[in-house]
Amino acid sequence: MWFFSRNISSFGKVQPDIAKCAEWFDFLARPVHVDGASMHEVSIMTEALRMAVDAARSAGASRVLKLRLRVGRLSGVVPESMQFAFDVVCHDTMAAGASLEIEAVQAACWCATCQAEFECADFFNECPRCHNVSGELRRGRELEIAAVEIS
Amino acid sequence: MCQECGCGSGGGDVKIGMHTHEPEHSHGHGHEHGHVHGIKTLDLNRSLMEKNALLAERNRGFFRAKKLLVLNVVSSPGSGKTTFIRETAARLGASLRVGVIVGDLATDNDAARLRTAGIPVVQITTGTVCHLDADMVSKAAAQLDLDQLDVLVIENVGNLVCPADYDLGEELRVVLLSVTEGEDKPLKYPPMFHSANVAIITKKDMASAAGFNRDLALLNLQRVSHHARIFELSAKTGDGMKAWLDFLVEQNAAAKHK
Repeated sequence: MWFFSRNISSFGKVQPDIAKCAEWFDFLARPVHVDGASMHEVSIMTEALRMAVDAARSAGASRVLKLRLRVGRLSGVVPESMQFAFDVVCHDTMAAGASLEIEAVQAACWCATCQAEFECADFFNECPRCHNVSGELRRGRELEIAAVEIS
Repeated sequence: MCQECGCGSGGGDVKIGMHTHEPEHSHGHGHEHGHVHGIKTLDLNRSLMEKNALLAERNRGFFRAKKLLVLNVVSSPGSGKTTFIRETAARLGASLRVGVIVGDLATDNDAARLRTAGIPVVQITTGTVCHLDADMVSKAAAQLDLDQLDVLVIENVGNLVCPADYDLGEELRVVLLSVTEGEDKPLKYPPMFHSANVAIITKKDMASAAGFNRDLALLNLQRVSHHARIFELSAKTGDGMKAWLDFLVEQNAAAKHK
């Protein structure tokens, strides 16, 4: 994601071992053909599922029951498409039938004049206090997996 | 130790291997495999783009070690990426050797066009995927003799939405806006234009026929990509290409000293 990927590592807890399981590699290599969902959402939900299953396996769980995602209002993904893609990618995995909860994150810009954030609905906005335009988005591009419920 | 982040709070001494643990602990030590009793919530708080971000950084480090200037060229379909890349490579000639990775949903037509011009090229056909990612680029780059190149151009899938989110490990992201597309493209696709280091207005020779409002386009570009270097050119007639090529030579020299 352009907003995070350049120089900022926003998330400290990086787990280096990625998909040890051969079965999982097979799953990732399987082409996904979905009508009605943008492929962008499919890629993102495939990654969300991979992280959830990885975390569940490490914890010794046998099922993933729920995924909680945090999605910024300006992240460019469509929640309905995410739900659709999620149901498809979860099929035949330990997350089959799991529910998806999406927490929307309100976007906010930084006003350099006021030295404060203000909530916004777009990438470029006028500060409600000083009316200067700011394009420095501080929140609203999130695409994160917050938590996973397992059993 | 704290289960969430290992910060050390919320528990007594943990001595692994000596089986010292608090009596509240309910798990046994004889299990061959771990299992979860009941329903449990694990906090992850990780970016879904994390894997791509890591692979992209790996690519960037690799390309820097090779002293290679890597460009990620993005635009909507039909704004002239392939012609622009072909002319860039042809005009640089022997001074800078250019290799290309081309991404498309299907066909290798673009690669064939470039190959005919004598440019080393690898085609990625993504099938259904609307963008290139760092892993695809890493695999495609392995098929080029990078030591024989100075500049690696990645022609992304024609799409102004999804490729914005996928860092490929490039040094410069170059977004193309052709005069036939409408001056408000930057406003319609701000993430892509905002993420670009270079913005290029292409098909300049067609500007008057298309009724292109140059001032408005520049205003919109500067509003969204205020940090980007802007070039206006026609790859077909060569008008404006010199400034772009000089910029590339300068950037390449910088890449050699990174």
